[in-house]
Parts: sequence; structure tokens; C-alpha cells
Amino acid sequence: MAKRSDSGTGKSRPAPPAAGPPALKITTHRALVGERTTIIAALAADPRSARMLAANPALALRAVGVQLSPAIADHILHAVQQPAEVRSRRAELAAALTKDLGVAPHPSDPARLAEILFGALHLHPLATAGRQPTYVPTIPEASQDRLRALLPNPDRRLPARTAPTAPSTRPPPVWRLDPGAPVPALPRARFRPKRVTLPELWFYLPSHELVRPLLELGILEVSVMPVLPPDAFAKVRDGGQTGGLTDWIQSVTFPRGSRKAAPP
Amino acid sequence: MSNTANFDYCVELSIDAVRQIFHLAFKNEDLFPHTVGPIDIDLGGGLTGTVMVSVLDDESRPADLAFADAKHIRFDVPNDITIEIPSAPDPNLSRITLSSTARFPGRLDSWIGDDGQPWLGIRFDDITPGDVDVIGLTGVPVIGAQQIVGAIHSKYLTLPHRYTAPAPGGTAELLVYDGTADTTLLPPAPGSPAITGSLETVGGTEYLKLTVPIHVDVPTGYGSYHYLSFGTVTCWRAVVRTDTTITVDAADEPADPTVATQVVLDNTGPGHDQVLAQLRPLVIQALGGFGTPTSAAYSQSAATARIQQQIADYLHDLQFALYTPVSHQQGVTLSTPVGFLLPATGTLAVLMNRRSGTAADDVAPDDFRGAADLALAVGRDNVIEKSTAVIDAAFPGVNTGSGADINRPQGHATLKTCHAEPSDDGAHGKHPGHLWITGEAEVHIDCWPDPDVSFSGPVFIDATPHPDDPAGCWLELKPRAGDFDVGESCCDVLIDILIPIVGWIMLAVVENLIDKIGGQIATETADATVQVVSPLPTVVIGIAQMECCLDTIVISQQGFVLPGSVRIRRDGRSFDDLQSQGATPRPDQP
Repeated sequence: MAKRSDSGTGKSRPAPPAAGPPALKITTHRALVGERTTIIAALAADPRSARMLAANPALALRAVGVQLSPAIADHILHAVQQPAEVRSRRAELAAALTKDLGVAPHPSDPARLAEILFGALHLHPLATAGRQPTYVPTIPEASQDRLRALLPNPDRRLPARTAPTAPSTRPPPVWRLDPGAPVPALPRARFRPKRVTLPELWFYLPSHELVRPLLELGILEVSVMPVLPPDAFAKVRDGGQTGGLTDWIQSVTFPRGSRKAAPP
Repeated sequence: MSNTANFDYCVELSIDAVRQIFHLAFKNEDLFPHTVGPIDIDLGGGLTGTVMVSVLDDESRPADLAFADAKHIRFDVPNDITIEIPSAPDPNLSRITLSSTARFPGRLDSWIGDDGQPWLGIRFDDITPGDVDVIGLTGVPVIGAQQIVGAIHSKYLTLPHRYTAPAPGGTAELLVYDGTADTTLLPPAPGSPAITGSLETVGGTEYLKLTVPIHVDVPTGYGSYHYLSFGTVTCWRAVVRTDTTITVDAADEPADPTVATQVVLDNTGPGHDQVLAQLRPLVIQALGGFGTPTSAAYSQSAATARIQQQIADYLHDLQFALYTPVSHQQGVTLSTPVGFLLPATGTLAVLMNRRSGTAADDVAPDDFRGAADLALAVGRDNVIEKSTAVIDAAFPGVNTGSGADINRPQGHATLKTCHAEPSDDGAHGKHPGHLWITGEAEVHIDCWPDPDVSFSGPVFIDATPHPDDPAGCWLELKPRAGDFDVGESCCDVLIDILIPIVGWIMLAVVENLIDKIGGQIATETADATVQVVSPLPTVVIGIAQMECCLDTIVISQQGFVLPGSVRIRRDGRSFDDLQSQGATPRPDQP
């Protein structure tokens, strides 16, 4: 049975899944932690919860009868989308860059980034069109060495092809941009672009000392675990298939006892 | 039954491709001598001969093959057998050419060759004469009166033609004529009659009836009067036939009075009766000089049986290697390929890497080739084994209890288990066939108990010919996880992890496949794309250049199938090749 918390909660019993108004209100972090057993039980009682959690944890809780205040919903989404140390680093970078640039940077916004590079930093535009930055491999080198050991016969492979490789249909994700890789010197572009993406920003790394923190912040800004908006979530809640990896989630099982201490 | 039976890999070739290789191999004199012989043979009846066999494969008389059963290829080889019989009584029979098409089975077998490599090929060590069909046999001579008389003509030349005996008042003389064979005889016979013969059956016995022109000159003892007369001798000699010879004993005067030797003298004047009475023994003696002419006289069935025996004897110790998976690594001995034939669909299946059991457990695989000339298959167990090895190598600790930590800016998780298995088109409600990925991870969330998340889903493999390869022979295999809504970028992290892993799985599976069957592969792992090139050795035992192109990949519960096509041409550039291309040397362009 759900237990009423001493503060920050509404009704004592979660409502049946997706039926009726939310029965448990969570408005404080303390209540969120204090009611976790009740919340977990509510999630466990709804067979749809696994996919709903993968789609949007805040809306998933609402769907199983837990109403969250906007602040708590925002807290949950942030906690799910990025670890605390990453959020902390983001804040640290944003503060430092704001101080240096005089404006909030938001480097994941291409238009904003163009203004910063060519306005605030007075950099010359570079001819980045058609150039590919260097990315960190998704599989670490150590793992790649182990994987190569599984390949039987390197002598059987052809030498490197002279024909150009077909462009990949899907570029590597931005968070794998490698800030430590050597950057080729590019000629200046004739025109100043109105938008600069993070892969394009990578080529400006040698151009100014603030480009590196800008790139790091931009990467962290986009390196979040996005959640589905309400309409797409509703489709998942109602048993629809997204055709994507949300469909992959079969179950989400919370431990009966906490595997880690509750935060203070 | 499965695509790979109790093996890891299987290559299936259409009978058309096998035929092309066969025809090219057939043109190679080193492998398939077009002329066999001379072979000394005993023809029976004291006759010996030498045999030369020419095997043919041309437009008018093409060689061919068919798949007879699971282990035997049935060959049709047109041939001409020339038999030289120097001692043939009839000169016309001293050189006989028999034409036929020999149909015989070759057994698909494998062995370790002198080069230490495992070979798949054809052996004939179990062949028996009864296994050989001789089709359309022509040229077997029918031995009749003409041939026997021919032997008589031939023998005539070696015999005396003038016989003498004491007679009252002098010497009696008998001349035996045979046309113009001896022009020294005096008097010459008017009209130069030749010895003639025919076959007659009298009293159930077959006889050669000979009519021999003669002349007699016998002193009568009455002064200088000589009885002179032309005449004929008619004799019957029993014909003795076996299944392979025909013999006439010219000295064997029949006991039957109805076929006793008859002498007819044209001159009925004085002395006729006396001369006739005295002449008959002399004539019989002279006829005995023709001896016992024996001809090889094979009946059609006897000739067929003899050819069957000769072919079986010749083939018994032969073996022709057809295929070996070429290892480019020193010291690496590859698994011996095991062949099966699927006659119903005209498919040669070559199994490699026995996974379980012994040779006694080997069974034919399914036909997975469909309409393609060529198809490669990797078995399910092998795919799962390689997948597990890749996952374990990529995520040390996964599937062992401890788990593998995965840290990204988006979050932290411990991957506890992860598996991949090939699945049918339609399985899990997904189309087409796919790798079904399952796993469990503990996801670390700030301020909240870490949940265990189990997941499963399909990864499809898109196969496309490389756009920059004009021959279309480079197949690119690119993993794709589901059909994503563009907005569902939440899954990028999982995609970014899974897709390269599946790329490595494909690489490990396909490259091990290539390693075991030969061929070459070009790999690219940066974007999880595998490129397959020339999946089979390009040169087949020095006779043909075989270019194989893979067209796509089909994933099913049984594993992977990669259908493709085969182009085969003769190794090197022969005159025929140049001629077919209109590129024979010209004076201005040597």
C-alpha cells in the first residue's frame, strides 16, 4: 500500500494505470524519494510502464497516477537525460563562457554560434564545406584490438581501395567529435556563414582558445537522452509502435531494496 | 535439414556453373588428356590390337554432366576409339573406329592432396563396368561373307597358286586363281574370275561357301595328250562364331556329303572323269592352305561390354581435384570440403568446417541457392557463436555476471547481458529477416534506484552493390536498427553502440566465412560497413578465372545466406578466347 509522505504529496494511493486523474502528487524532491516505493509499485502494476519510461519518464509517472509538479518533472527529466556530473560541467562551462563572451553561449544553436565566432570572437570564416571532422570511435581502441583478434586472416583483405567510399547515410553523432585530434588548416571562406554547426566548429579549434570550451559545451548540450513529446508519448502509452528503439524496451524493473543510498 | 547441415559454412553452385567449369577443365589437356593410348589389347582368337581413344567436347559432340544422386556426377563424354589390328585377316578390318558417348558416374569425394591442402573432387574408384553406359555406339564392323572372303583374298597372296602332282607321263598341274591377284599364272583365266564366297546355313550349320577358279593341266599317258580345263572348286567350310571372333578352318572338309567339296571342270572331253577323281584330294589339300582365318567379330553387345570394361579399368585410378579453399596463411590447413549434390535442383553443395559429428554423420544441406548461380551460407550456430564473441570482446564483463560499464554524456549503464541471433522474415513481427538483439542493462540514475532494463529489437542488414564498382561485385553490408522516426533521437546512444557491434558481428561472420572458403574481403569498420569482394578463390585449379559477385544477404533463423552470380572464363587467353573477341593477331597489329 502507498504511504502518504509527510509533505509534498497529495493523495495516498496511486490511481489505476491511465485511468482517472493522478492520485499521487509529488511536489518536492523529498516526497519523490520518500514515495519511491509507492511510485515503483505503481509502475510495476502497469505493463506499459517500461516503454512509457523509455519514452518520457515524467509522462510515464503521470500515466500511472503520479502527478509531478513542474519543478519535479523537470528534475526527473534532467536526471534521466544527463548524469549529475555532466550537468555540473555544463553549468560550469556555460558560466565561464558567459563571463568571457558577455552573452549566454548556447553553442548548439548554429545561428548563435555563428554570431559568437564571427561577431564576438572576430574569427575569419573557414571553408569547411565537404570536410569531415575527426570523431572518437564508438568502440574504444582496446575493444577494437580484441575485436580484430577475432578476425581470422588479415592477409585476405584487399589493399585500401582507390575508389572513394560512398558517403555514409548517417554521420557520426556530435558527441563523438574528437577535440584532441589534429585539425587540418583550412582556407578562409569567401563569405561569413549565418550558421555554424558543432562539426564545423571543430575546425575552428586552433583559431581561438574559447572554441574548445564552446565545443565541449555544445557537445554536452546535445548529449542528452531526449524524451518524446506528449503526442508521441500518447502513442506509446496507448500501445502503439514508434518503429524505433522505444519499442525495444521490454521491461524496466526497479530493485526492491535500493541498490544505492538515497541522496540527502 | 538445414542450410549448412552439421557444418558451419556451405557454398552452393548451380549445375550451369559447374558445367562451365567442367567444359573449361575439359579443354585443359594437362588435366583431361584428349587422347588416351595406345593401349595394347587382346581381341581374342589370337588377335591383338592397339587402341587409341579420343575424347571430344565440341559443338557437334558436346560433353556434358548431370547430377545423378547425392554423391555422383554423371558424365557424358563423346569418344572415338580407334583399334589397330595389324594381323587382321581382312585388311579392311585392320583399323576400326568406334564412336559412342560414354556415360559414367564420378563420385564426389574429398581428400588431402599432395600439396597438403584439402580438396574436393571426383574419384572413380568405385566404378564398375556395369556403371558405364555406352550410348549410340557406331562403327562395330559386321563380319559377314565379304569380310571373310576379304581374308581369303589376303591369304591368297601368301600362298602358292600352282600345285603339282606326279601323273602318268609327267606332272599334273593345278592353278588357283583369284582375279588378277597373280598375273603370272598361265594360262590366265578368261575374265579373271575372283574367289567368291557367301554364307549358307545347311543342316543347322553356318558355312562359308567358296567358289574358287582353277585350271588343270594333267598328262593322260596317252602320248602327249594333256587334259586341260578351266573349272571351279566349290567348298563349304563351317563358320565358328564367338561373341568376339569369327573363324573358318579352310582345311576342315565337312563330313556332311551335301556340303562336300565339289570340283567342276569345263572340259568334258576325254579324261574328264579320271582327272576329276584324282583332282579332288589335291584341291582339298590346296584349300587347307588358307588356314584358319580368324577375325575380331564383336557383336554390338560384346563391343559394348568390352568398352565398358576398358573405360572402367581406365577410370578406376583417376581422380580430378575440382576445388580447394585456398589458404593464404602459411601453416594453416583448412577444413576438408565435403560435397553433396542436390539433383532435384541441380545444385552442388560444398560444406566446410564440420561443426559436429564425424563423416558418418554428414548429410546433404537444403537448397538455399534459389535461382542464383551461387550462394553462400553461414549456419545459425556459427552466427550466434561469432556474435557472442564479438559482444564479449566489445563489452568485457558482459554475459559473465559482472557486466560491462558503458559511460556516455547521456548517462551511465552496466550492460549485463547481450545476445544476437538470426531470425526469420516475419519473426517478432519484423520484416525482412534480421538479427534479433536481446539484452539487459542496469541503468544508473541519480537519486533513484537503478532499474534493470531488458531490451530486444531487430537490426537489419542493408546489402547494396558498391556504387563505385562498375562490375557491381563489391557488396556492402550495412547494419540498420529498425525504421526510426526521425524525432526519436533519444535512441542515438543505443544505435551508436549497437550498430558498430553488429558491424563487427557481420565482419567476424563474413570474414571467417571467406577465410574458410577462399576469396577475398575488403573491410571497413569505421562506419560499421562490411565490404565483401570475390567470395571464392578467383582461380579454379589453374583452369578458370571465376569471378563471383554477391548480390545481397538473406537472414533467417538458419543463419545467413548470400546469393550471388558467377562469371567464369578460361584461365589465360587462348586463341579461342581471342577469336571469340575478334582480337586475333593481324599483320598490322601482331
